[in-house]
Amino acid sequence: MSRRALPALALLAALLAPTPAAAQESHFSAAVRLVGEGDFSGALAEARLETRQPDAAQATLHVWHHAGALEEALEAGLAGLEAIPTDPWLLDRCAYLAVSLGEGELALELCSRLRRSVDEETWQRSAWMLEEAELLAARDRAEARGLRRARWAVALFLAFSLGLSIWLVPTRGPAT
Amino acid sequence: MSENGARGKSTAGLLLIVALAGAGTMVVELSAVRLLAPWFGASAAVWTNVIGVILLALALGYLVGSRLSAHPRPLSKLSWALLLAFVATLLLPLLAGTVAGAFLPEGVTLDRAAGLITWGSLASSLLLFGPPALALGCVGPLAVEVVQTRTGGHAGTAGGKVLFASTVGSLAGTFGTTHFLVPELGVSWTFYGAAVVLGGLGVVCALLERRDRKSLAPVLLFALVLSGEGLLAPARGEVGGRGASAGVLLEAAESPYQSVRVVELGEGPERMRQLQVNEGFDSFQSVWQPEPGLLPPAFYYDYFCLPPWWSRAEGEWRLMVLGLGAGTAWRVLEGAMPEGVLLDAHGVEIDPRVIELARRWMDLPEDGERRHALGGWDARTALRYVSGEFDQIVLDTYANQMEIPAHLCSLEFFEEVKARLAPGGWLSINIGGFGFEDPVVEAVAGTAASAFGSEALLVRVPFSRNCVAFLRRDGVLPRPGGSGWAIEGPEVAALLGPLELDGRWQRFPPGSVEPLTDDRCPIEVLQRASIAAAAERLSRRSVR
Repeated sequence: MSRRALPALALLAALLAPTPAAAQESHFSAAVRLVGEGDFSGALAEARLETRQPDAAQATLHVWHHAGALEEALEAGLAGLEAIPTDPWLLDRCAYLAVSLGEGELALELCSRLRRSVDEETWQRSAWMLEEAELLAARDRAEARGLRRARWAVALFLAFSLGLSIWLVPTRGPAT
Repeated sequence: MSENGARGKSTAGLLLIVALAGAGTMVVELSAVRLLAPWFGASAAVWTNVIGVILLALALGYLVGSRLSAHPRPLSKLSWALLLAFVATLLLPLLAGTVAGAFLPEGVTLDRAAGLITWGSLASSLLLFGPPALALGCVGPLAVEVVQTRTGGHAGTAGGKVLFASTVGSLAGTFGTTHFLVPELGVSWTFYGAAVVLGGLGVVCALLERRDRKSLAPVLLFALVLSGEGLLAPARGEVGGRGASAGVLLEAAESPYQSVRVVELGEGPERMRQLQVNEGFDSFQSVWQPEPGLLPPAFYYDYFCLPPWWSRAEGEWRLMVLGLGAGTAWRVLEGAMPEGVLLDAHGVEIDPRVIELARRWMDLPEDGERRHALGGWDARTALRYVSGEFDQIVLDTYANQMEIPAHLCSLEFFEEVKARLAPGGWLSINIGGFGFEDPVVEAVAGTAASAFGSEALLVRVPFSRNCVAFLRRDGVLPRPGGSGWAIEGPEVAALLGPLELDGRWQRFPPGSVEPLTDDRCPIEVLQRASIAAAAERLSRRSVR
């Protein structure tokens, strides 16, 4: 999958994202409903009134994600995972957001946790994210290698230049 | 021919060779950035690296040339120096992808690219442009030696003539490269042309020398290299391997400013076209969809259409877009204006080639009633010459995808913009940045607010790293979720909901930052700080 397609996928996922399971008329479900109506401020207010976890984190993530605030959505999800580290919905959404934001190492960790938290059949639906996360992590490593290589190339060329200069700049004129 | 026998001979031919070598040096220097641009862009940092490397290599070349000039046959050495420059220049378009790719892996995003751009472009410049520039640096001292040997007299006299010829040639190379060679021939063929000229000069020097068979070796080398069939042909019209990796390439062109390409993605009514420039990373300059109007979410252009709705516009809406690109802003507003409001759209785009491509591929209309596109003009200059006042000015001027030109974000510039707005008129600014704490966002929005003497309203575009700032001349800005905010058009009104959330909008009062001025505008420093801060924030995020 192309990296360029990821922002569009994030949007698609926000629109198609599974609604958190506990949708009943509560602060949680009110938040979900208000998102559907386009009232994001009201939805966020409702989500913040929700006190139960993981509902509070799920609702907050849901609102931010649909509002296109991917970083805030991820932060909300990660905060929820501190309270409920194995919540599959939060793990899945956070992994997705981490992939969308290009955060390879974080996505790898989240995928790994998700895999341990769900059965094989459920995992298979999310397994593609692991591949993306591995690609992102490999890209990060390649970037670090590229930077190291560039610094060495510059250092070697400068050393060569200095050596050549010292060799060629005569300190005295030729004897006559 | 002995050195003494050479004395008294005309040096006009040799000075012509020096002039052409000087031109070749500038062709290499000015085209160098364009060659690297598909990977590293053409920012001030890249220019600085390229110029620095070429100066270093020239300096070394002078030293090497000074040593070689003590050789009994300096003309022969001059011939070899030019032949070396020929080979090194000829290889540049062929090696650029391999060398740049070694330092800048595929798939790098903007927020991670800062260090790689600086160090990668420096290392690539050293490896690519060091050898030809070093060889060309040898030309001056060797030519001085030959001239002095031929004419006798003072070293200063010979040196002065050679410097004159070299500088005049450099001047011709400078103007020729920017205004003719690169736009007409493309980057690769500019290098090939320069290489062949340098090689030809080497051959001429060898023929002038022609003491024995050995001195004709450069002629043989030149012929051998040029006879390498297919060496040049595969690279014709192509520079670099990044860019249009996804989608169908509709057209690519070289302009005096950048490498430009139009790429089509998707199919049917969902298809989109993007105008991409230089390195691209994960961004584009303009976008087109079959029907005018709002683009899918994540495109900041949509937010430019809010002011006519907030103003409850009637009759005609006079719009000026600074940084028109391929006319995306026009097209969005054209399809999303309040009913009955006529759009009188003006635009300025510095790159005329972009206008040409946009007319061919992205439905940018020809000039006529209510549509006026000024191609080849700087936004600030053009603003002074366009008549009348505007209901809205859109500022979307970026160089190299991510750099706001310093003279287009200063206090003085924003004051000029304000003066061109009708009372109650709006300025809308696209600012690329990573949130409201981003140093670039703070500086630009704060400066604009100071120039307007009133607050700027900033919103973060959903699913995007762009912010859009709104300022108003002698008018009240709407408050998100409050008075003056709601609008009637349901499609456009849907844009507002996500912006109302805390943290997705912010007001910047005048005086909130030290304003950027024409005299002191460290925007490039702020841009580097912006990318570094984003990378730092990203590295801190973890799951516990």
